[in-house]
Amino acid sequence: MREIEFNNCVDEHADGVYRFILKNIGHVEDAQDIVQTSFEKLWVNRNKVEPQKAKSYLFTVAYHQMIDHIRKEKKATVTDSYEEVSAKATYQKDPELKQLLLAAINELNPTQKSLVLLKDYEGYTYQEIGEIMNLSESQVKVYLHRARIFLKEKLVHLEKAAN
Amino acid sequence: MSINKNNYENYFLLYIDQELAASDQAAVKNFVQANPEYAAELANIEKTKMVPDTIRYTNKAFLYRLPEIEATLPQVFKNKLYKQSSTLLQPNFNYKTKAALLSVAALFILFLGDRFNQAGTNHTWPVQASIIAKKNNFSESNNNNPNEIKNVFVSAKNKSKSKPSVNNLEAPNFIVSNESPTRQIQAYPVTEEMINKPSSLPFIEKTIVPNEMMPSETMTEAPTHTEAPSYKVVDTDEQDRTIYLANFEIDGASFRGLTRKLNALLKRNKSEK
Repeated sequence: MREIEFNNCVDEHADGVYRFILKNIGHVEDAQDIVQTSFEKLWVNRNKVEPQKAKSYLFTVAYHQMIDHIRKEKKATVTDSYEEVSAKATYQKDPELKQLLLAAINELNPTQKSLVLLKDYEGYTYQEIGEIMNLSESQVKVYLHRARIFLKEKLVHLEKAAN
Repeated sequence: MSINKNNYENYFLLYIDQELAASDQAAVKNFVQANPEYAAELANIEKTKMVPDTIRYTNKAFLYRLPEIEATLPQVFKNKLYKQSSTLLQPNFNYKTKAALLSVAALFILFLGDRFNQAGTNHTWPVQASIIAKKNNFSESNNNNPNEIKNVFVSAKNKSKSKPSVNNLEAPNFIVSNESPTRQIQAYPVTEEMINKPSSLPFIEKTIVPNEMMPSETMTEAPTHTEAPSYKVVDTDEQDRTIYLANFEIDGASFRGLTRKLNALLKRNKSEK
């Protein structure tokens, strides 16, 4: 990978990696640090990573960085800055549903949350998510479906409580 | 496998995750149309799908790598960005410069020599001065008024090895002794009896008096004179052994005894040969 290709990766994937990490850990500065670390690792290993695999490599590194961060912090909390960023950047037909969904997703464990975000935000297949998160395709499918069912029940419960 | 009431949920989940083939997707749509009571279930599962937010990473400038961009910049522009290193002065010794340097060196040597000579002639050596005064000038002083007493000044400012000048001793009508243990100059007035009988003169060896009998820092004067002369006591044993060569100061203590050691060494070598 040459410098120009690396810079193209920055243009194309920095936002996605940042969003994925920010939605998971909910802290702007920590998310920026993880993104920077991910691109640093990509630069260090640029001769080993093919350009078409760069996105997957970035998300893999960022995910593991995030897991390390979560283990260090013990608990990922939603900060005010995250709420502010989300409120400004949210594109949602139903803002109320968006808030309820965010509240429900924050109740997922980190693995399930990452699965949902990688699937919905980045559109990865089960296989690609498995490669990123070191899971088998069947594990991704099972964990993701459990997360969806949890979110569905949570949303139904919250909507009933709201009404 | 066709979709039914037992496995619809799994199909719905795969449907919203877009993991179904086109034929299975069509099958799910047909199942919902045929069973409207499951449409709400599919809608609830679709609500769990998150809509991507527009979040920008604003610090991309820190992520870019610029070597190739820098490579595209013109070299002239890049040279302007570099810190100019100071160039060392390269001496160019042409014949004019060499001549000037030689002239300066010659003037410096002449200056040093002149200063050295001046320093040598301005000093007298006290011990030698006393001997010369005793041997050479004693007879000349007979023609002068023997009762006239003049002070003897012995300069010992520096420890220069230069030979003392007799002319610097002004009318030495005193026998000057520098051999006492205290190394203090002692002067005795010359009387007529001493002039008439030079053979009976007390030589320097006879003028040595014990240290305890001599008053320190005073000049011993003969009691025959009514007018008490004043004497300047010169301490020749000063600790400052600095040798002055022009403007240079050299620690003379480190050279003390050097000539004696050299002579001893030369004599030894000579005797060995």
